[in-house]
Amino acid sequence: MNEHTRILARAASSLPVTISETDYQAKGFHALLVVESCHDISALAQALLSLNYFIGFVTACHTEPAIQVLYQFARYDVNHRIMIQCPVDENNSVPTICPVFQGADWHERETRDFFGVTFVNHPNMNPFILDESDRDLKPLLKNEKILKSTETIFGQGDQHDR
Amino acid sequence: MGKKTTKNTALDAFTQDLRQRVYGEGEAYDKGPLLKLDIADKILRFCQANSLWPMTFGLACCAIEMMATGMARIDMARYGAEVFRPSARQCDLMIVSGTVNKKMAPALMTLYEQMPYPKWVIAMGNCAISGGPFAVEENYNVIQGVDTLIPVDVYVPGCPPRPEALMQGLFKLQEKISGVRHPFPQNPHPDGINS
Repeated sequence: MNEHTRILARAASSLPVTISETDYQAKGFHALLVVESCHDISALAQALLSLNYFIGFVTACHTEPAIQVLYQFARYDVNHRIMIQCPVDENNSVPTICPVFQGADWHERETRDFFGVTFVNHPNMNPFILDESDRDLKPLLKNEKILKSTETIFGQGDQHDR
Repeated sequence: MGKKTTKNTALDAFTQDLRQRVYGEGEAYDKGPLLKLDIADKILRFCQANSLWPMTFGLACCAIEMMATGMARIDMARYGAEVFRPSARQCDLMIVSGTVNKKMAPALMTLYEQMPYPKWVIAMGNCAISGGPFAVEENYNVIQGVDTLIPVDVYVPGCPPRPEALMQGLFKLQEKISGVRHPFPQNPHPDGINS
């Protein structure tokens, strides 16, 4: 296991997070963190902040049974980039990480625009990129025909690298 | 470019609503001068055609070509259209250079309404003409042609159009305004090209 992934695993050992190492050349990040319940995301963000990580982006992926919110973090001092995969809860919501990483503010609003994910306790959960009249448009949600399961998209199989 | 073949009812309703808010029931139209004297009008039009003041208004990649047109190599200034003004109130030409999306549309209408008469519009590039590559069924955000919002005088197709194409659009506009293609003919090499 990579040295920095090991440090990360130690810091997040108290949280229900599955950490697996990934092929950086193929995936573009060194480690994948799958969060079991989205309620732990704030605590995980806090842990990452204390390890000097900065936020790359927040986005989402519409899969069955739940939308997966994706966060990417990296560090300036060493080359270590991580992806966090966090399923939404039954209300299609995830706690915000704005109080920890201010940079997540706009990314979370954008994710709300495109996927309809509500970020609980976000200071300004309003349309960001879309027009005010498209508040409930959610243009990036997949239709039934092309909706795939989380397993297919994020499974360990190498044929689904993207 | 796919115009009228794709029906996007949600956007149609949006553009209609926006037009209604700005123009009421009617359409935007050129009210023309208060006094119309034939010879004076001809002279005025002649001057206007040779002194177009475009707005500094770039929306997408077409704006890069518009900037290139204004720079030294192509140099719109040779035809009297060099003063890009950052205020709509000082302009008489709006070059819609790029994709107009739903969020930009109200701002575009405001800018057009702020321009004093007489004013002209060039729709530059396929996006501004008809939605271009965005004229597809899945489109939810791009206005299918700026002529659904404001009256357009000259269409310059291309993706993006080369500066030469924009120059041609400018000549077309000058022709439309004054009735002649080059109101002030250019003579770039008085002593021949090899001198």
